[in-house]
Amino acid sequence: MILLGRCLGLLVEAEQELSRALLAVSARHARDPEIWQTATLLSKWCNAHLVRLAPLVEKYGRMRDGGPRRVARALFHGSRVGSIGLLRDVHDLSLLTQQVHVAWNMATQAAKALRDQEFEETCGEAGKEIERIAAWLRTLIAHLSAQTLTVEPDFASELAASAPKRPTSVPLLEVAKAAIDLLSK
Amino acid sequence: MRESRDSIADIWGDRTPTDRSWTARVDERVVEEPERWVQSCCVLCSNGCALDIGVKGNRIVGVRGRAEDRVNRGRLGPKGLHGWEANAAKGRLTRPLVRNDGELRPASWEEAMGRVVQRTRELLHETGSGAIGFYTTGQLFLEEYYTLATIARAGLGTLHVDGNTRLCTATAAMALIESFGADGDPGSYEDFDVCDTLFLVGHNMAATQTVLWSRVLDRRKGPNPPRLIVVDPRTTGTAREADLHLRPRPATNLALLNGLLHLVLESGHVDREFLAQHTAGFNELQETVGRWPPERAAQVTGISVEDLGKAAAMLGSAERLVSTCLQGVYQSHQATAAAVQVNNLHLVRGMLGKPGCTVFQMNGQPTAQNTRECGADGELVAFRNWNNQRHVEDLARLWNVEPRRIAHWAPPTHAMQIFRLAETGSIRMLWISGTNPAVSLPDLARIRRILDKESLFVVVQDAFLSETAEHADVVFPAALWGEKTGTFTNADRTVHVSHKAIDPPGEAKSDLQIFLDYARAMDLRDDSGAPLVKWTDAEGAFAAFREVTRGRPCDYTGLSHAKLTGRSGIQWPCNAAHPEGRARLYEDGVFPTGADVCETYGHDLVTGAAIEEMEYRARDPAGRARIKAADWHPPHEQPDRRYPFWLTTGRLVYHWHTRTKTGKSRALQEAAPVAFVQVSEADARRLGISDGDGVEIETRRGKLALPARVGEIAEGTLFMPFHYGDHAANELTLTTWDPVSKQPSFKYAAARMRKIGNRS
Repeated sequence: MILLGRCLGLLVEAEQELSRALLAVSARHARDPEIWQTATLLSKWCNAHLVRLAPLVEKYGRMRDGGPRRVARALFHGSRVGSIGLLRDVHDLSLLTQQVHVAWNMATQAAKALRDQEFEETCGEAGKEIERIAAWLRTLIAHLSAQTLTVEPDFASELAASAPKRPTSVPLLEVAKAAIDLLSK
Repeated sequence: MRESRDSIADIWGDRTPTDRSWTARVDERVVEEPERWVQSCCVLCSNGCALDIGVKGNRIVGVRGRAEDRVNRGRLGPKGLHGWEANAAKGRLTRPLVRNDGELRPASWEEAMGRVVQRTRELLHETGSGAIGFYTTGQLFLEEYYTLATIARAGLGTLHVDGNTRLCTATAAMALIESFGADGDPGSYEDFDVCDTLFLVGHNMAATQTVLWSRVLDRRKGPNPPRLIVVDPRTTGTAREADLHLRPRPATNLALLNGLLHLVLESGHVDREFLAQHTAGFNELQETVGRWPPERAAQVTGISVEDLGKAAAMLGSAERLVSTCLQGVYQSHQATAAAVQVNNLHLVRGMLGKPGCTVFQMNGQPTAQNTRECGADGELVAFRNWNNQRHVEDLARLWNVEPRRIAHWAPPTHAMQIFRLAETGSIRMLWISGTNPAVSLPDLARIRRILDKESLFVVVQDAFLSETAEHADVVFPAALWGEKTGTFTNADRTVHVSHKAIDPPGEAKSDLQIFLDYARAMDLRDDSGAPLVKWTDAEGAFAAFREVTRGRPCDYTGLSHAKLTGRSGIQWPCNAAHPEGRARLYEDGVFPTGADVCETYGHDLVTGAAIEEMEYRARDPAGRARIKAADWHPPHEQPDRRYPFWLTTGRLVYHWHTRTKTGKSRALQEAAPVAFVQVSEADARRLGISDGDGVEIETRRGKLALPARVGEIAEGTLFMPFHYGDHAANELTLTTWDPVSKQPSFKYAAARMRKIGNRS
């Protein structure tokens, strides 16, 4: 038995984590159109990758990896409210995206060796889209960093401007915690 | 009182049937006999119709078109013939105002400017220039934008400078840049005189550019009329004239255009030689539109396969094709990707740079082109690339400052982000000149909350106490058109001069003078210690701008106020090679796309991600046009069970923007006194609504009570004009924008409607 199933397991889980994280970030920063509209769309790209992975999983099998979940759990901690919270979220999304990107690179090599053209095409197209997600995140870093890191924030406005649009989209506890966190600084 | 025609009843005037060259016809309206005439140009749409202002004493008494001008050949539309009345209207601001104990009260210039200077200094000291933002317009003059850009970008060094051009022409600029490497429409209005097919996409020309529409109507009544295809969800006057009217569902332009390109490629109406020699990226287009067979496009857009076929056949068989895009494209979903697809149509067909063959990414406002050229919006001065270190160094040398004084670590902040930063409290001073965001931006409840924030110091510079000015901390009274001298450029790159005809009222000053006063009060210096802003009047500002355009695509070096006076407007580039201006760009098929010249390295049309310099250089198109394509995806808000209608917004022929000026003309105001909501016959019948009944229209942002107007719109779609501050359509619109151009989407939102009263 070949071990391609390990890579496919890694890929499926990494795409799932990225999709979930994009949605969570999109909900957390729902008042920032730049974020919610594109993050929501890109989360759908990840879901489409999962659909394309399904026949490959059927063909080559899939073994649980567990790594992507542990990586995702290690990220997205602490206050994520306001501009600095958004910048930290974009940073963590970049790391998750990198995880998916590397996994697709591994799969591409295997697809070539197996002369599986359909598999290779899937790797090429999905890998390209993951690179586009990474480029979007790099652009956000370029746009947000200087303002967020060098202009003194106005905490009260930051809080009001990032209050969730729907109470269900972010646990209220998190906002309360963040408020205490920000005000205590 | 003398008028050549009643332009309210007869908007476009008599036909002067045309083939090849447009005959002159002078439109005039004066209420008293003028003592003298002063050369100017109309500022009530993007067309740029040359006119003379009739003056008696210190009053404007009328206008007449300039027969010799290449743009309008003497014609004027209803807004041009009436809008000048605003200059003498009640309510002109004549003294500066400052807020004391919550109330605006008159103050001296010294006190008002002193407050602004003091607040600027405090912020520069406490937090840096990142706390200061400027939101300007598409209504000032070139000289004013260039002065503002110099002050903000080099003087204060802030990234946060943009115009309301973000709402009207950001996509036009971005689509031109993405495809051709730099801003600037490639064609000439003369192309309308010789084309055989006209393709108007989301452009209600009959209402928004009435004089250009007269030109089209004159062709249509002439010996070789061009065929006309119109894309619009409403049956507008423009659509009624069309040979083929396509009515897409809102937010589906890209699906429509992908479907049409699919058919054009399939039919083989492709200029292979042009594609091979002058373009890069055709494969990407082929792959993308390959996924859009007519059946799929029909399903998404609601346009029949048969009509798609007819349109593609007309576009494919055209020998001289002129296409135009306006807000129906720019203010809708996937705006840049859709506008670029129209550019692609012309690249595929090799129809650029030749008489009768061009694409117009139209401007919304009279001077929007200058906001872009001068760097008073998201572009760097004279179409320089903020991401190209050599371009920044070049500009820094001209300004005599260190390159790092010019904020350029990120692209200039776009208007919607400026307001977002004000919302989060990061921007603490916002200087708004010549625009009324409290009516024109989406989701007004939010905008009012932002303007009222305690932590935000708001400066408003306007001729009237607008809805926005009511939220200001300091109000500067500004001169209007006719009360100051300057130049501006229309959508076909024609530069006109507008001379001062009368004095501004009271203590009002020109926007230029206000900016100059601020620069002096702030004591802004270049690196040698000389004043950063080295000019003291409009001619001086023009001369300074001319120098920074040398060698750039918008080369003004052959122009001056004197040269523009007493004759027709002149198209840029105007320089030693083209002393009388250049009618068409890219006649040789060479585009400013080379990595060293281009205005940006471009963007991912779907995500808006910036393409990085290394990546661009690795595949430098080096003079070839860039063909880019994207798939359509559904918009962020769609009708559902609770909000079953599409709501779209737009303009009426009699008004301009938030009616700050047109609402002051009795004839224009009476012609279109109130807001309304337009609904299809079928929907009206189902909801028991008759013409004139009161209805309540509601979206997730807000609701309004309005009279209904029944008919001439696709079923399932509602339309509202956005001009009316008391019933502002933008109470209802969605805060979302195109990922590339950052232009907000006013053309789609999910809405519901119910009847609340009978016609009264």
